Amino acid sequence: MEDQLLTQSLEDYLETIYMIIKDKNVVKPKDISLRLNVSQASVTGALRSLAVKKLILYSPYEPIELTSTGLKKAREILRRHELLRTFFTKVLLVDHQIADETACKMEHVIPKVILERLAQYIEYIENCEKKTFEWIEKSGYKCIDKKGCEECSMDVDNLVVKDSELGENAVSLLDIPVGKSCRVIELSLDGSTQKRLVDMGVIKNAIVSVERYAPLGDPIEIKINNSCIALRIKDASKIFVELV
Amino acid sequence: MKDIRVALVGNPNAGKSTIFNSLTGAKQKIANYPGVTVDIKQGTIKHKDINIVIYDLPGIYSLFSQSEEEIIARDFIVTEKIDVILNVIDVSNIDRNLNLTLQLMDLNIPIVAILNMSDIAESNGYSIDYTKLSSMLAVPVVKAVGSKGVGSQNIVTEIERLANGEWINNYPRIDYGQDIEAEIENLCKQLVIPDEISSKYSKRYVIIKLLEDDESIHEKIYVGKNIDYIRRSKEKILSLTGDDSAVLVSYARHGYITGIVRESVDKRVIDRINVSDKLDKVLANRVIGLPIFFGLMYLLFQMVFTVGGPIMEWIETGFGILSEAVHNNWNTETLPLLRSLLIDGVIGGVGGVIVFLPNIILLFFAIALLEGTGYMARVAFIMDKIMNKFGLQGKSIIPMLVGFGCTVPAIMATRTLDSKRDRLITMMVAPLVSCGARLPIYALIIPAFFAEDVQAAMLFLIYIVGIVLAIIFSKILGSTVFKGEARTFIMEMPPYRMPTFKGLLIHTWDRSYMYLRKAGTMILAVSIIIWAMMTFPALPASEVEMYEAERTAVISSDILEDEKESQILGIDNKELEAGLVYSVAGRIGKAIEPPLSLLGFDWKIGVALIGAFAAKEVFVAQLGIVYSIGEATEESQTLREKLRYNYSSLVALCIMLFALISTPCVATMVVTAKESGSWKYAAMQLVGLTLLAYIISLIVYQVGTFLGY
Repeated sequence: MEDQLLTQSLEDYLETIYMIIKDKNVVKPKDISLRLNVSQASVTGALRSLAVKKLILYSPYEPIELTSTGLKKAREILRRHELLRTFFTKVLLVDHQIADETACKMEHVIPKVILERLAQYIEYIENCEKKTFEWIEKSGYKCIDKKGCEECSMDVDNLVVKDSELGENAVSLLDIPVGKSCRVIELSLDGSTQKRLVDMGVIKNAIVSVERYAPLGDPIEIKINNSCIALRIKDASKIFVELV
Repeated sequence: MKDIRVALVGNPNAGKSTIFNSLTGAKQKIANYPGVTVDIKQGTIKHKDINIVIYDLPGIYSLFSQSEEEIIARDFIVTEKIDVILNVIDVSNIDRNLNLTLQLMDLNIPIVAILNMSDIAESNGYSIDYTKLSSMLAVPVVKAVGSKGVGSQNIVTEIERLANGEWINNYPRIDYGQDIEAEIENLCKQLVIPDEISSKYSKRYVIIKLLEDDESIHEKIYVGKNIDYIRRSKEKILSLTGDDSAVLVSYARHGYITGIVRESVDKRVIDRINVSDKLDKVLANRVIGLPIFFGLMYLLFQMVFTVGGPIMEWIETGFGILSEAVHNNWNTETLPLLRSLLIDGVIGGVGGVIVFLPNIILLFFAIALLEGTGYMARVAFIMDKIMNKFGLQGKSIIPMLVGFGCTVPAIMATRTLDSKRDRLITMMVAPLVSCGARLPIYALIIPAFFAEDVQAAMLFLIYIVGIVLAIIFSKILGSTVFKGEARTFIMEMPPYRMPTFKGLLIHTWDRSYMYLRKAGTMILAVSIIIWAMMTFPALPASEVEMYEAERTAVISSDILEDEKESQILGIDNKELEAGLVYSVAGRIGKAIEPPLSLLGFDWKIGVALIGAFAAKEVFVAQLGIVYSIGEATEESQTLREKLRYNYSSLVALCIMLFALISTPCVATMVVTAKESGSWKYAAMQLVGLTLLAYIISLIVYQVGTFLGY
């Protein structure tokens, strides 16, 4: 996975592309240069490197698309950012703007294990029903409930980090060989496309099988319940599934 | 007589049409519903003392306002005060079908559920507990087999019962879970809902739609404080459950359906699409799928033209005889204008339309067959990648191909496209595909100007230019005029089916009849206008007398009879030419000569082009008149010689290009206006294409001249 290592700036680009897609559905190089406040030329350079690493689909005059790996990566970066910011604002009670700026710098370097611990900590604080935590000078947060933890209703052992992220086995629908079945884990298409698919029964946990590709490789035909649906590769790449 | 208004609603491919046909038989017509480009058919059944009017709505998957069909269907049910909804359900896809049923329940109208194709389902191992299903849904359930007419009587009985009795809304209320239900209750108190909405929908329905992000309702309610209330509720749901409210609502519905299906349907074997699957292994095959498609298209056109050709000739002969009969039996002295109007205007104009009817009927039959069997969806599947490159979708290939025959059915064939945007683009560029009526123009000009060994290549070049322009312009239109609309391509591939012959005939007849009625009346009107333009003002009496005197001189001279005849014919033709020059059309031709001269055209070409607006092939006849050789055909050698004498081969090329690209004929414009629902698009097509033709011919002529051709 050595070649997948991204520089800090490329990570920023990827994150920005993801955010713009969420906002507007379509990304043009100009949007990126406006958001990051950099020149169009550097955007083009960065897009090329991202395309080489197969994180985005980029060709001139076409809207930029995230590949499934790109999407995963972008979400991971964004999640790190959000976790850190939450920690700074909710736990450390730091001003929002400073929190955001610091998160932006730290998100690129923080190792996964520390991140997960932080996440658990935040969850713990947030989920404590009695809100009996208080910031105590020099010793950090303490539970001030006199009864102690015995009667605390929190199930610390099974505390699950609230994480809608994809599981380890998640792949895009396009990675499923023809004739094989898979379970839908997540759809991350734009609003109306996603609604249409949901109406047609493509929902979380539905079992879908890949029937065939069109003669020219696009679209793809899938079978769900008892009906066959054709959809474009572009949309299918945003359906995450696991083999069953 | 009491009228009961019934709407037929269901998923695409659930077999709605067969149910509709078996219920109403041939007594159906296209409902007149303003501004709608999707067909809504209407049929009537008389039963005892009631009149049941059934509307066949477009197939939809949900009542969400995503596609044109869904908006139309929902608006129709609500605004047309529908008394009973007939919900056609395909048993083999019952989960997805019930999703729509549950949404229909929100409209607070009695529903009859029709389980269609129940015979196939049962023979495939489904066992359905109809009583249980009916009681769980609180809806009467009727078994039916549309293609065999089974169940029609029961459906009518249920309609009658619901319409006559007191109906109470007992529909199951879906529990969306405590978090959402709490917010629904909150919003119920907070929201201010305008009367125009609250009079049609219940408050709960409106709120659920808002939580589902339904855009059509959004617009009217998303104002003032409501925005805050809705946003706060949605955020609260998100923070409590970690999921978007829209997703949760649809999951709750799907969960509810799963429950119903588990209780009432026993699925043992699932192999309905086995046969389909086998067929698709061949027809949608990665290697031979495309060749098979083109082969089938070739056969289809062969069939249309070999079967249609002779019939067209008979019709043409028939009109010729009719026109001849009027010509011979109607003395030139009595009402000469009316005579000319009848022969040249009415018979010529109507004949021009009816002559294409055999081909059009055959084309529509072929399209009905492609759609009815389910092959159309495969066409879209295998052609989508190519067409998508041009900014269109797979199904657009069919109208394009039909366009080689005639542009009018091509534009009507765009009905098979489900996105309005794709339909409009296809309509706009369809005239660029060179139709059959333009062939006489090429057939006249190419042999006149080009050496025999390049003639075929020239013809091919002209066709290719049309196709290339169509491609370029769909791409351009897609990213300019028709930009912005989201383009999604998610299409069900229905199992292959044997369509009923009756269904095919009904489809074919509907479309052919529309061609005749709508295009026919308008074309007749415009033909008369063009006839008038070429007839008025008539030559002054002094000139007519002059030609008469010349003729008398020839007759009384003592030359041979044969010689006399040809001289008289010459004088007749000269008179025709003088008449045309003197008419409005001739004057317009003269007036537009300066801009046309930049393309190397003179006023004679101008006049012929005006005639071509009535129908492209009229161009040839017009040239014949202006060159004083009477009514010409594309085989006319004299005309070819005259053309060769007057124009260079560069001008000839420009004439062909102009005829290819410019103004579609009147029929095309009329059909475009009807099908797009607006004359705006027809005008856009007219102006746009004529301008394009002018620019391209201008460039070709000027560059050609500069290069010394």
